Amino acid sequence: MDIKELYKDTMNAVHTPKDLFQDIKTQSFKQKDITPMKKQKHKSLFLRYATGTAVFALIMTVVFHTNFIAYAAEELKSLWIEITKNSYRLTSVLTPKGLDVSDFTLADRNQEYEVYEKLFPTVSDIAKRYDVNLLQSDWAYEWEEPYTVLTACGEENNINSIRIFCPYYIMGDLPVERDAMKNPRFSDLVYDPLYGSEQEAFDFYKNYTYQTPIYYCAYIYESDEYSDYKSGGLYDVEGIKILTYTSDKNGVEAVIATYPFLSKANMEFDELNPVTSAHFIYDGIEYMLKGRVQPEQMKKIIDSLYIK
Amino acid sequence: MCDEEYQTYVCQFTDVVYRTALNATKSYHDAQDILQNTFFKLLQTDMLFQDENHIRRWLIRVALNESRNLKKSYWKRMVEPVEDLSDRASVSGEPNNDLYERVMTIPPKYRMIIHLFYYEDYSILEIANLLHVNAATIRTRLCRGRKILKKLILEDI
Repeated sequence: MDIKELYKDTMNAVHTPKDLFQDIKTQSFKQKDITPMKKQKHKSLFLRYATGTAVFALIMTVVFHTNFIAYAAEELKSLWIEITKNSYRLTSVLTPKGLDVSDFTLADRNQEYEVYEKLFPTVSDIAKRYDVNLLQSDWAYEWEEPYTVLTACGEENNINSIRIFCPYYIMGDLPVERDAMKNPRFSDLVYDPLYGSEQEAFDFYKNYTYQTPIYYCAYIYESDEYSDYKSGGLYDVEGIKILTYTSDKNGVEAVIATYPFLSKANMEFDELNPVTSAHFIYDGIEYMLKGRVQPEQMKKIIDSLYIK
Repeated sequence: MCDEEYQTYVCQFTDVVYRTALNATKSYHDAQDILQNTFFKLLQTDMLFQDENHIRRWLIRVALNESRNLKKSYWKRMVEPVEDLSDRASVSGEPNNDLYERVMTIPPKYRMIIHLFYYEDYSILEIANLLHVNAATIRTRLCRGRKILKKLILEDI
């Protein structure tokens, strides 16, 4: 049974309604006859004043706070290359000494790759098991449940990339609610209305320093060819703000991105509780930390990292 | 864009855009709105398309953006949808109708990725670019979505 073919057959049965199809076909002819009507906007004096003030404030922000500039995709990629130019990629962990997937679960297989998975309670357990120097924080929550997943991609005898992911790495001042964290691999720690979130365990509006846990991701690639992140995981999403940070404690050079993501309450972009992510390469391993904290808190989290 | 070109694109890609919009919104009416808006934007754009793949990708991207905007709109926030998949007028009378409805019950974050991967034959990186999600997440979601889809298909057989 070929799932792909069955799915294609199912979707091929869906067609545009005939009348709508005709309508769209003749749209171009209608365009010639109809001049689009311009919307008339009646702004109150107060609204005009507010708009003018906002524009002025934005210009001042751009001029005087050059760290926070809207970035296009190519600029993000260049920034990533610049910040990681002195970094190298660790490949020795993928030698037979480092990784044996014989006791892993085969999670997926298709024409492109195979995916193997194994669960561990914490990042620290993985570091010890495979003798890998992973950056870790003493602020990490000491889970007993298997909330950290190691995913290996490639072929059974030729793994070319691995990913270590813990969705509840640092809980901070959030209450630990185990019932709400039943399926951590399904969790999206930020609410995306288009794609939904299977668990909305964290309230972004409570008075915590952390509105969601910090999730921890470490990537090891055999070569740049297998890296998913040509720009370090940075995407030119709407409203992204970028700053670069070098830690005095551990020398990590990171790009910190802030996204005013959509809030679940009112579907507006939430500036007050942004998603903040930190992207860097350290000792050959690519890291991403992400959660709803302020950028200053993310800097402290970066400072707290060290090789245990 | 000349009329002939436009007509060709309409004939070629209407169903592609409609299926993408339907996948994103799960609502026939919203999908139809998105379809019209997408082709309206095609009329308005002055972009020069390199080949068929380029325009196909452009149309899908616009449809996805339109569905995102629709979800953000005041109307969508305030109004409870009366119909979901109960209006089956657009789905022709084919044996796999029930399977289609079951596929639509897959959670949206897996459903769109499955659609783009299996139906549109996009690679993981292309999907990551389209959806602004990192590729590792796409892989994980695809894996989960496949499991759900497989279970749904097995139930149907």
